[in-house]
This record gives sequence, C-alpha cells and structure tokens, in this order.
Amino acid sequence: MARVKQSRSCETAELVSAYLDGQLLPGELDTVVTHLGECADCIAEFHQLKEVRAALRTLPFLEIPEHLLPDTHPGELLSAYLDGQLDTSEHDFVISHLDFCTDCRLELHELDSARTAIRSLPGLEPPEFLTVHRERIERERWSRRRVVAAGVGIAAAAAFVFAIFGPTTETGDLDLIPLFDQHQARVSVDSGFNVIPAFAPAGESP
Amino acid sequence: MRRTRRLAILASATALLLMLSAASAVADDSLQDYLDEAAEASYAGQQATWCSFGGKTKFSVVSVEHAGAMVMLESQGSAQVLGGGMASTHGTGNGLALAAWSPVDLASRYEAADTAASFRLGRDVVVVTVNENDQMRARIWFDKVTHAALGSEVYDGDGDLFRLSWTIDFDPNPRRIFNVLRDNEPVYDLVVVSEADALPERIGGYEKVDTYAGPEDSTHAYYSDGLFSFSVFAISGEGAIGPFVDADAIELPSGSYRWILTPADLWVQWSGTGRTYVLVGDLPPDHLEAVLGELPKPSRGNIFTRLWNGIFG
Repeated sequence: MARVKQSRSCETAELVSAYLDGQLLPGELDTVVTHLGECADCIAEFHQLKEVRAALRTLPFLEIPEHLLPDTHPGELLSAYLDGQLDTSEHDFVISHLDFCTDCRLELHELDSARTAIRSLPGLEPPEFLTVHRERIERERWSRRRVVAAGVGIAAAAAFVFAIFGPTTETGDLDLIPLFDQHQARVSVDSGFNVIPAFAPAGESP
Repeated sequence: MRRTRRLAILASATALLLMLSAASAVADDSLQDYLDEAAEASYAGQQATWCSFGGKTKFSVVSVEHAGAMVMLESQGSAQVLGGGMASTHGTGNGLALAAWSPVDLASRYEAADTAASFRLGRDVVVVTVNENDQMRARIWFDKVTHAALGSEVYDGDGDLFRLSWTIDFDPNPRRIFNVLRDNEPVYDLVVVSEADALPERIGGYEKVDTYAGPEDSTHAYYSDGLFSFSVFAISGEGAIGPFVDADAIELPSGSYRWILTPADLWVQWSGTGRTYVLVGDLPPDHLEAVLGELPKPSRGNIFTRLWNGIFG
C-alpha cells in the first residue's frame, strides 16, 4: 500500500497508511495512537485512506513482469525456513517475498515435497562383509533371544487379537488449538462471515 | 418492414432475458461489497454470540477490536490477534503465518434479497437479507459509517435460527489493539502450502481454496463459498482424538460422527480409510450434512466395536 500524501499540518500523517497495514515500529505506533486521538485532520486522512483501500480492492489483479522483480530471492533461506532455523528478520523477509514471488513459492513446495520423499525412502541393505559379521553376532545372541522371543511372541499374539477384536485405538491426545489457530489464520484473509470474528474462549475450546 | 421490426423486438427481448439470467447466475456484487467493507472496518466493542445445534446451546461474550485487516479478540484473560494470514495469542511469544493463500469468490447461490435502513446501538445501519436459492440464509446489520457488521443471524435449512451474534457495546475508535500489536512480537511458524491431499475439489457448493501442511504431520484443506468456510484436517491413523472421545455422536446417512459445538464454530471428527478427520467451520447444519456426505465416509469400526455398540448403544 502506497503511503498517502503528507498532511500540511502533521508530520505523522504519513504513518497512517503504515498504521492500517500493521507495519509501524513500536515507537511510531505510540506516536500515531496518541496523535489520532487529538488531530481531526489525521482522522479525516484515516477515513480517506480507507476509502482508497476499498477502491483499490476493486482493481483487477495483475501479474508483475519478471524483469521488474528485484533479484533478491531467498534462495537457501527457503530450506532454513522449512527447518525453522531463521531469525525473525529473515523470517519476515521470506514471508513477504513469498507473497508475490510465484517461483519461490513453487521452489518451497518442491523442497517440502523432496523432504517428504526422502523421509519415505526405504532403508539400505548393509554390505556383505557387514552381513557376515552381523550373522556371527546374531548366533552368539541366539540362545539369549530364544527366551525373549517367546515373551515377544506371546505379546504379539495378544496385540494381534486386540487389533482385530478390540475396541478402536485412540489416535492420541492431539491438541486442537493449533488446528483452530491455523483455521482462523486462513479465515482472517477472507471477507465471508469472519466479519463476525470467531473465537473459542479458553473454557469453550474443544 | 413490420416483420423486421417484430424480429428486432423479439431479438431485444431475448437479449434482455439472457442478460437477466446471466446476472442471476453470478454472485451478488452488492453483498460482496458489504462483506469486503466490513472485513476492513475499524471499531471496538463487546460481541455476544449464541449458537444452537443438536439440542445443545453455547453462548459467549467476546471483546472485539477491529482495525483495518487486524482483529483482536479477548475473552477470559486471553487475547488472540488475527489478520493477514497470521494468528497469535498475546503473551505466548508464538504464532503462525500462512505462506500463501488464494482469493475466494462469493458463490452464485447467495444474493442480497433485501436491504433496509434501520437503527441499532444509536447508529444508522443497513439490514441485508441474504438469500440462498430464494430461501433466507442470513441477515446482517452493517453500520453505515464504519461499515462494521454489528449483528448477524444465520438460519438452517428448515428456516430455524442457528447462530445469532450481536455487538452489545460499540466504539468506532479502536485503541487497545495497537498497544497489543506493539507489545506482541511473536515468532511466527510458517505454514507452507501442500499438494499432498486427496480430498475433493468441490463439495456441497464449497470450493477447496487452499491446502496446507497441518500440525502433527496432518494435511489441512480449506473450503469456502465466500460466505461460510471450514477446514478439514486429515491425520494418519484411525481413532477418536482427545476432546472427541467423550463427545456426542450424530448419525447421518453417510455414517456416525462425533461433534463439539462452540459459539462460533462446529467441530466434527470421524475416522475412515486409515485416517482421522477433523472438520471445523461456521457453516450451517444443512450445509454440514451435505459436505460430510461428499467427504471420505466414517469406517464402521471393528467387529468387537460394532457388537459392543449393538448391545450397549
């Protein structure tokens, strides 16, 4: 959002746009909040800016030509992103960049898919000389294992019977609050019934 | 000449009919405008919300501060800040941020059937009646000056009131949210877009708008029709999840589901095809039933469970 033309009487008027976008620094925020409470010009500017924002929403979306985009792609930061290893400034930069860069969003998806694929790869068989060595160790342990195996066999049989005939097992104590937060974050960028904001108070949340 | 004139009149009438039918096939622009303006409104107030479903009723009063696209909701000492694809709870230092999202269009089944001037909380308002296929689905009270939605009613498929929300104290100038935004500098976890999802693209009149990686290795599909919305989380493994273990069950033609009601949302959980599903959203009950009918069906459980349920209910 472009910043509005500065009011003749107020030096803080320029910050009103950033204030609506939630982009003010802590010091600036104090200044604007205090100033808006006492300056009629800036309140008028505030409402004018909201009208401009509403008008801008009616404009069609245009793709930014590739040659106009700055060559500041996050590159290796995307991988660190997925690993949760970015500091706050890098994190903010990547998020804002992903907002407009289709290429980087695609790269991020590919990285994520690759990580998923790697996790799903089967384990490799060890070389033959290691297998022979392992067999010798296995033989030495066999006598001890026979006792253990009998116990494991009984337990496995019990587990099998329970899986077939027993009641449904619980998936776990999954906390639903992260699911709710993620749903709410997505709802927050739509203009449907989130005009009536939803909230699950502590005592009401499932 | 007379025949030519008749043909011209006939052609004009046909064209007019085509234009009218085309106009009715697209979503109501005025309703979209009201909703867009309300989403960007600035105000503060107390909001009471009441919801009734399946013989249960939930009620809450929440403090709301709405400044542009940012919203702060406060209840029972907890403050949640939402907006711009981000969500965080004040004081925790943590939040989450969506990497990307797609625009949503208002479904053509909705139209602003009637708009009327009224007066609420000492303010001039416009009451918009929203019809869905010629049946009243909702009424929304929009403040004329701030464009804020001061109240709403949502009706189910039988025309009964399903959810009611009213602002009971209104101030056009939000202030506290800015202090919270100043003090609240959480570290955001990025939620990346995922394509590993097998849920249908369109169900019950709702479009699947986006798919994300969800918590605990789940996938998150977000559906919306521009007015209501819901999310479906698919988690590996079958079985009841924490709060749903003791939840009420509801029997639908598509199977048995466990559900929890909150003042603003319905939560539904079921298991099938090796996965556990959790749905959360503000959609009305008849929409929910249509949606569940087109999602993966609940499994009937193993032989022991069915026998147990058959004997003890």
